[in-house]
Formats: sequence, structure tokens, C-alpha cells
Amino acid sequence: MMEIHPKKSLAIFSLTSCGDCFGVLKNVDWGRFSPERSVLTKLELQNFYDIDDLRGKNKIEKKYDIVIIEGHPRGKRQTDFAKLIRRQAKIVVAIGACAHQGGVYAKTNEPILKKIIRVDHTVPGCPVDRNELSRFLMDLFWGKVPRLPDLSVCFECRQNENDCLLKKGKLCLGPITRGGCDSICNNYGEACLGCRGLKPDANVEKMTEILKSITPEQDIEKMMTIFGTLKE
Amino acid sequence: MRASRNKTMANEIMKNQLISKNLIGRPYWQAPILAARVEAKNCIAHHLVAIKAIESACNIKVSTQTVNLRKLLLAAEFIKNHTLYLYEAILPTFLDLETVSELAKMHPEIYHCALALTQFTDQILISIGGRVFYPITSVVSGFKSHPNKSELKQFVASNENLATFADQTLRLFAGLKLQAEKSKTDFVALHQNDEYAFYDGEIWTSAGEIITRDKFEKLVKYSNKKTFGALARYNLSQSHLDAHTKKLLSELKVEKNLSGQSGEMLAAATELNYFITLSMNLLEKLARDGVKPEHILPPQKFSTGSAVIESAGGAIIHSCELDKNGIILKYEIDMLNYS
Repeated sequence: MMEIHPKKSLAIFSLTSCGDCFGVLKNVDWGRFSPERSVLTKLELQNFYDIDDLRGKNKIEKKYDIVIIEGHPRGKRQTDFAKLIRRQAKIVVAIGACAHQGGVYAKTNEPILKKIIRVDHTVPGCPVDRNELSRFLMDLFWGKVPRLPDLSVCFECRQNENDCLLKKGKLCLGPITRGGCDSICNNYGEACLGCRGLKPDANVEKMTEILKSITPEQDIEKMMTIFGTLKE
Repeated sequence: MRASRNKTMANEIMKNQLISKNLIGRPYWQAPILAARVEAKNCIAHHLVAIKAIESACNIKVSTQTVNLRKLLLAAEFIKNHTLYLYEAILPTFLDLETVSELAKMHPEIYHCALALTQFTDQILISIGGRVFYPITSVVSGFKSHPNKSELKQFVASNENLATFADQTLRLFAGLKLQAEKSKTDFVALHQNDEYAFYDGEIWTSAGEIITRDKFEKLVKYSNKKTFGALARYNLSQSHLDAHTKKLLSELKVEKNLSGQSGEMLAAATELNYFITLSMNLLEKLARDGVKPEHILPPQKFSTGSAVIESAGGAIIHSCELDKNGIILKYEIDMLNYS
């Protein structure tokens, strides 16, 4: 007889962010987001909080199977709240560049989420890819370990037969950035800006050497920190 | 309502300040990328006003084609935000429903109307900007990539009935019996003499005052005494709506002076009609004439500049100061809107 898997409980917490990742899941009722709708047949969205809701809160009443955190934890209040979330969650998934590596809201030397709490999984990107997020959540429901691609954006860019910006003497972080976005920015002639974070074994020193022949060193630092810290 | 509006404003101001500080020391071209991330639902407005501020600082004039493509992106964002506001925030409550899923089950024809409108906006944003949020193709001085003529023609043909959905939306919401609230308030929005202002113009109040950059900062501080967004634009610029929308408003006996929540709802539904008509006209023109690839010229001079734009929720101003190498010395974001 086929085993019926019970729904898993899900909560979403939105810290300092633009609200896109949160908005993806909150608007999941809309049929156009069909991958997310199938996710909701397996995961019961029991609560979502944004930073207005978190004001004055010093406890979370329920425990959840899966908690999604988007946004960067700014300041002591949000840092303490991230720790509270961790205590009430079996699995924590950080989504988006802000939760992953600080994003556009992080101040220099401010600890990012995974330096404050244990993060079980990360779905990177700015914005997060809806299909990738849905696949992740479905894998979690079925008890699988979700995997991110190990290849670089550079690999995907070459597969898409784009002209190489580095060869043209232009800045691009494709060789050290984790793939999975199908080199969307490069497909439109724009540089990869590293929003998905470093790929495994990325050689940042070598990348810096290559970029030094194109631009001053301080510009390289500015490029590598558009979406927070590109150091994992 | 006021307490939650003040909290949301405080968060928005905090995020504006974070992004503004983060931009200091960065090259000018990073401004539209980071500024777009102030808030996802108005990312196009922030992205475009950042671009316009940089172009103002660099004395760059863009082509009519570029302006039209930008207006299409911005109009798409307006249509999406108004659709979500009307069909997600207002209508379910009115029909005593909890969620949009229930709306889809109980009133599928209404749900499909909303779905068609949001699908249209997503198509425009992807076709012109590269993706739904945080456009890729749009940069300082123009666009790096353009849709081709056949894509545009196909797009126009597949959305022929869109005006009907916008029409139905205004009729639906004009038919809802919300208690009219008469309130005295000062409306603040962009205004132009020759068109319904949303991409460009001067900030006016209904008292007839033109708001400069310095006064705008003060206005943001005391914004709880003002009305902005669709309601303000409707009251200040309804004479510039297109003929079809005006005829529909007259047929439905929608008042010329709207106020309160019922007014806000009708103003949003009216703008939905206007922006659908505008979008289709722009798309037909681009499909007919074709989109000419334009070379992006890097800026030669750098100085100070500012620009203003409307988002669905209200006016936004970005100001910047650049050094002689195009590095951002100062950046400010002020907005008169709240989620």
C-alpha cells in the first residue's frame, strides 16, 4: 500500500530585504506560479512574518519543519530573532543573496546569517529563481538533500554561445560564480555580478589577478561586493 | 492603519539609507542595480529613476525610443501593482473570501481577468527588461538588448483582448458599494502639462504648489498629512487620461474628485485602464516601426544630478553627486509611498 507522506509545516521570515523572495511565496496563490502551487500541496504554509511583525516579539510560539529566511539580519534585534528562529526550526533554508551573503543591505564587517545561526540549505540569487526554490522545497518534502549546481556561470555562458566579456577586456565574475541561472545576465550582454555567490573551489585570487589587467584593484573590490561579501 | 503606515515608512527610510550609504564609493553604473533593490514591488521605478539621476549628472539625453521602452516597463509595473492591490488586497475582503485561491474557485471569470493582466505585465517585463524583477537590459544611456519586430507583433496580436479585461476591472470596482468618504487632503504627485505624468514632470500639490527637491525631503517627513499614489495622480491629472478611459468613467458616473479608500480603489482601476491603453499603443508603434539597436555611449562628464518618477504608491526622487571619474560621492533616495 502506498505510504502517504503528511504535509510538512512551513514558515517564512523576512528580515531586512527588498521583499522579492518573500513576495514570491506570499503570492503563491496565483496560478501563474504553478511550480510553487504544487509545493503548497506538500508544505503547509502556517505563518509568514516580515520585520514589522517581528517588532516587539521575543518568542515564536510554534515549531516548524521548515523555515525559510529571506533578508539580512541587521542589528541586534534581528540577530537575536534569527537565533530564536533557529531554535524553532528543524530545517532552515536561507533564500536570496541577502540571507546568503549579506546582499545589498549588509554593512561592511556585519556578520551574515550563516555566521549567526546554522543554515541547513541555501537557495542563492538576486532575485531567487522560482523554479529552483520550488525544486528545493519539494526535495525537502521528500527527504532528499537538495543540491545546487557546482559549475560556474562561465560554463553556462559558454554553453549559451555568448561572447566572452573578459576576453573583450570587460569585468565579469562568471568564472568564480556558482551557476544555475543559465547565465541570464550574460545572455543580454551584461556582466555576471556574482549574485549567486562563489562556486565550490572558486579561485578568487586568480580571478583578482585577471581582473587587475582590466581595472584598478579598488574597482574589483567594489564589483565583488555588490551583493554582499563574495567570500565564503 | 496610521501606526502600520508609520512603521512601514520607518522601514523604507531605513532601507533607503542603507542602500544610499552602500552606493558611496561605487562607480555610477552600479546605482541602478542597487537602487532597484530598495523594494521589489517598485524595482522598475527605483531602477529607472536611478538611471535618470545619473543621466542628469552626466548631461545625457536619451532617444524617444529609449523613453518609450522605459515607459513600457514602468507602465507594466503599475499595471501589476494595481492588479494585485485590487484583486488580492481589496476584492477577497469585499466578497468575504480569505485568499485568491478561493476567489479562483468561487469566481473563476474574475480570477482569469486578473491572471491575464498579470501575465501581460510579466511578458512585457521579460521581453523588454530581461526578467520580471530587476531588469538586466536597461542601463544608463539606453538598452543593451531589444525585442525584435516579429516578437512585438506576436505580442500585440496575443493581447488584443487585454483592454476588455481592464474595462471589466473598472466596471467591477465601480459597482462595489463602498461608502464614499469625503476628506480634505492635499494631493501630491507628478504633473505635466501635456500628458498623464508618471515617468517625468514636476511634483505638484493640489494647492497649486510646485515641490522642489529640498521641499520634497520635508514632505516625506510629514507625509501622513498628504495623499499620494493613484488617488493623487487621478485628482491632479485626470484631464490627461485617454479618450476611452474618460468615456468609461463618464458612463460609470465616476466622480471627478475622489477621496478615501473607495477613491483609491477607483483611481487604481482607472489607471489600470489608462496604462493598458498606453502600453498597447506603445507596443503597436514599436511593432510597426521596429526597435533600432542603439549604441550605449559611456558618459564623458560627471557632476550632480537628480530625477523624479512616480511609482504605483507615490513619487520617488533620487539625487547623486559624482566625482570626475564617475564614482558616487553622495546618493539620496526619498520616496512618498508605502507598501
